[in-house]
Amino acid sequence: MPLRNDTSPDPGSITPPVLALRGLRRLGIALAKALAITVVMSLFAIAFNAARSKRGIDLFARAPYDIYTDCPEMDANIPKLKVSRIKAGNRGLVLVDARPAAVYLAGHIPSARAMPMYGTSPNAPGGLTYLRKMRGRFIVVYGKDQMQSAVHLASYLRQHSVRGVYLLDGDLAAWTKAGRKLVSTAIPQADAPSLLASSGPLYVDARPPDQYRAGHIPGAQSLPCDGLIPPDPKAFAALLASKRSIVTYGVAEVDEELAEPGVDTKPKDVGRLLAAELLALGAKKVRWLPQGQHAWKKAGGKVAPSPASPEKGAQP
Amino acid sequence: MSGRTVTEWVDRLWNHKVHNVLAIPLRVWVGAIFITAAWHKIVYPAKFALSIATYQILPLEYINLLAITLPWLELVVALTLIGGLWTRASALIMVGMNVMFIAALYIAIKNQTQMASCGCFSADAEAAMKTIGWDYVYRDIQYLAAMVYVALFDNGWLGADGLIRHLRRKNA
Repeated sequence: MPLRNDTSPDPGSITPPVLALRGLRRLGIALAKALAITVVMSLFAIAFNAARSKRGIDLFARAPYDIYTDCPEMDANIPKLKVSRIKAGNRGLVLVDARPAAVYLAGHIPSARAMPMYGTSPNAPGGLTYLRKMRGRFIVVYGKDQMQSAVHLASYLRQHSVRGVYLLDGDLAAWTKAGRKLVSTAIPQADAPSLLASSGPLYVDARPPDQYRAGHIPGAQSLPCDGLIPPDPKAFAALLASKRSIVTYGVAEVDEELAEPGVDTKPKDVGRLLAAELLALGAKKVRWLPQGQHAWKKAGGKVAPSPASPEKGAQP
Repeated sequence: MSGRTVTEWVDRLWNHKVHNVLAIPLRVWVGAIFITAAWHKIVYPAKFALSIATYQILPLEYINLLAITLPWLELVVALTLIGGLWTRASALIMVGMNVMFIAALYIAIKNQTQMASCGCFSADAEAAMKTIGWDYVYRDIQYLAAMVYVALFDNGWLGADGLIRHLRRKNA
C-alpha cells in the first residue's frame, strides 16, 4: 500500500483505515451469520436424525468405527464410561458382567448380561454373536476382581470383533457408591427325597470325570465344572437349549496329594457352580442339589458306576 | 499516485458491481455440487459416517455427530448460496468446509490411509471405488478459491440479499 500524502484527507473521504474497518465490519457480520446458520442447521439436523425411524443413527458412538483403530492385545486403551452416563432403560447400552456366575447371581447391575470370564475366554454361548450385532451401542464391561476379569473380557471382546467396548469407570464400587441398586437371583435348591419321589428331571453331574465314573445318579450326564475352566461348550449349550427340568449336583473331592500348596482342599460343591452358570446364562428350569451325591445317598438313592465314556454323558 | 487515490481505487474495485455478476456462475457451480454431495449423505448417514471414519482423523465418538450435521449444512448453505441469501456468510461456511475437506484429504494422503473413496459425493464408499489422490485436493482447492472470491467480492446484489436491501430502501 503506498504511503499517504501529508495533506489531511477531506472529511468523509475514504482512507485506508476506514476501508479496513468497513471490511472488518462486513467480515464480522458475515461470520456471525455463518455461526448462526451453522448452529441452527446443526440443531435441525440432530432433531431430524432423532425423528427418523429407520435410518437415524446414534449421536455419539464408537462402534463400529473402532474397527479402524488398533486392536490392543490387552487392556491398554480400553475407554471407560462413567456410572452417571448409564441410565435405566437406555437401549443404546449393553452391560456385561465378567465375574463368575455365582458372584453375578449374588448381585449384579439390573439388565446386565453375564459372561463369566475364565482364564483366556468367557463362557458365553452365543454371547459374541449377540454383542457383535449390537453395533453402534456401548458395550460396557464390569467385574473387577483379582483376576482382572473385566479387563480380560473387554480385551477378548475387542479382539473378537466386538466394537464399542468400554469398561465401567470405577467398576461396581462406583455403581454402589452412586447409590445405584444391584439385583440378585437365588439359585433354586432341590431336596433329595422329593427328587427320589419324582421322575423326569435331567441330572447333571458337575464333578471331575473320574469321580463321576466312580458312581453317579443313574442317567446323570457328566459336565465337569470346577470354576477354573469353562464347561464343555457344546454340552453346555445343549443344556441351555434343553426344555427339561435340570438338577445339577456334585461335591468334588480334592486330592490333597495332587493339590498345589496353599490351594483349598475342602470338598467343593461344584453342582452349585454349574447351576449358577446355567442360570446366569439364561437357563430357566435349573435347581441345585446341595451336598450332591451325599444327600442323594442319604435319602436312599442309588448310584451307578459309569461303564464307559464318562466325559460325554447322555445329551439332554 | 497518491495514497488517497489508491484507496478510492481499491474501494471502487472492491465494490464494483461486476463482481456480483461474475460470482453468480461460481455460486451456482459450487452450490449445485454441494447439493448433489449432500443428498446421499442425508439419505444414508450411516454410510457417510463410515466414510468419515475411514479418514481416521476425528475422535470416534464425534463421527456420527459430524455425519448427521455436515450434510444438512452443506445442503442449506448451497441453497442459500445459489439464492444469494446471506451470500457472504454462506460463502464463508463453504470456505470453512472446503478448508476442512482439503486438510482431511491431505492428512489421509500423507498417512497413506487405505480408503476406497473420499466419501465426498456417494456416501457409499464401496460403490464409488475410486482411490483418493491429489486430484481430490486440487478439485477442492478450486471450490475454495471460488468461495473465497464470493466471500470477498459478492455482496449478494444479484440475489435475495439484493432484493431484501432494495425492498428495505424502498420502504424506508
